[in-house]
Amino acid sequence: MATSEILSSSSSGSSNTRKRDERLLVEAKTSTTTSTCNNCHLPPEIVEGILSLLPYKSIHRFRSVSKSWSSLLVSVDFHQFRRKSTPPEETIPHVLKLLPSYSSSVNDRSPSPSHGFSLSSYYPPDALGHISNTKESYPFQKFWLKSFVGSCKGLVCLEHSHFMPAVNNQSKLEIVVWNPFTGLYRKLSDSITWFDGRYAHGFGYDSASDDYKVFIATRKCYGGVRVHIFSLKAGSWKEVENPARELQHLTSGGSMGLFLNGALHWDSKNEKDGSIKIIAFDLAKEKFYDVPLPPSTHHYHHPLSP
Amino acid sequence: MSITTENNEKMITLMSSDGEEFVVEEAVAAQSQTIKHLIEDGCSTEGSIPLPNVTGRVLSEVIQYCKKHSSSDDKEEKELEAWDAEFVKAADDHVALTDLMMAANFLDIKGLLDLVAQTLANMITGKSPEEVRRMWNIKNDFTPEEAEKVRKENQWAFE
Repeated sequence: MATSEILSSSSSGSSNTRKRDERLLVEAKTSTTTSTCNNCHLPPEIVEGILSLLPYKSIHRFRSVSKSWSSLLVSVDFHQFRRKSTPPEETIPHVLKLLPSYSSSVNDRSPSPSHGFSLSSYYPPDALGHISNTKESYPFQKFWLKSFVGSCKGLVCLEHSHFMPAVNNQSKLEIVVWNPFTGLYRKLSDSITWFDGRYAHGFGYDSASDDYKVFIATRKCYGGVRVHIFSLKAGSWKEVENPARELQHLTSGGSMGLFLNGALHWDSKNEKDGSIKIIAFDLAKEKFYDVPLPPSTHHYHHPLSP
Repeated sequence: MSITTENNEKMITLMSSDGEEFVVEEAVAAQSQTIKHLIEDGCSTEGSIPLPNVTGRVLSEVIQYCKKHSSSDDKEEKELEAWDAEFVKAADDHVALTDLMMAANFLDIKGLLDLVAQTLANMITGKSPEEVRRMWNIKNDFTPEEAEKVRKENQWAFE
């Protein structure tokens, strides 16, 4: 019988060898201590070794196998281990760069495309073999997509209006971070009153604290810029001090910050002399800085691109 | 005590949990980090290295793998890949593969461990949770409510 064989091969042996065996197992378990496989005879590091090679879809399906598998498959350690053992070209983050910016700068109040929103067309067709028909799995069909805030590491941050017929037909803005591959999403708590004017927004990853952050720059009531960032880890908004005033004068490059090397980037145009400046926001330090331009490009405008 | 062949290769004896003895070149056996450390620690001088976690049937497969991989150099990479594919195919089912993976884990042979893990992963990728439970005799310890909840959360993965 299969299981008894497995059992005997792991339980027999002199105590001396068993000790050595245990040492090896401990050494092999460098990346996780989450899963203890109490009800099967597979050591946890073997289970993890096999499961880390599976595509996301199988990983989510196998959360139904048992409690220990479920807790292993949602653990941060497992996903970090998996990321390390998966070649970069097989991870998904890069594909989402192709999503266009749905601009919603101060002047542009036009809503989302009225004929629905299909994400699938933005992916290279072969990159998404295991996701079919993303349009149908788009969970926000009934909402009005206001802006595409940004995307990073396979996650998409969207802002849509939530129409509320019960409240005087008012609509409420809602920001969600959505994983199109798993269908899971998270709504950000909306404890901030958004003023009408939106200067800039963005979404990125802070590797220093292993956190995702949403960036929103709005117009202050009496002029000036106000910047808030939302930490997905902390689950709350906070205001950033000394925001870059240049955010008020972004070029036609768009209000969506470009995420690169741990920072969001925008280009702005000086109203007086027409010179271009690249503003960057470091997501770890939560501070603005300028990116120097090559001298000859000051009066040309090339929209930022990755 | 170690034997030396005509080619001046050092030989060592490995003993399986069921008492089977395998005489192999030290270079072949040393593909296992565990055995390599045992040799370095001087544990092989008593004549043979006991491997109480590995049965003779599994050990003979492991030795087959180590022999192939110690005799091939990088130039034969393609051929080696084809050989690996045949090797795991011959292991036949998930039980034999699981045994092999446990042995590769205990003996610390990275190449074999990766090969078998990938084979098992490919084997279960499209399977249902029920099938996977049956494969490894895993108990479903969810309450019906918990099972329903976790299934609902991951519904997309069942479609």
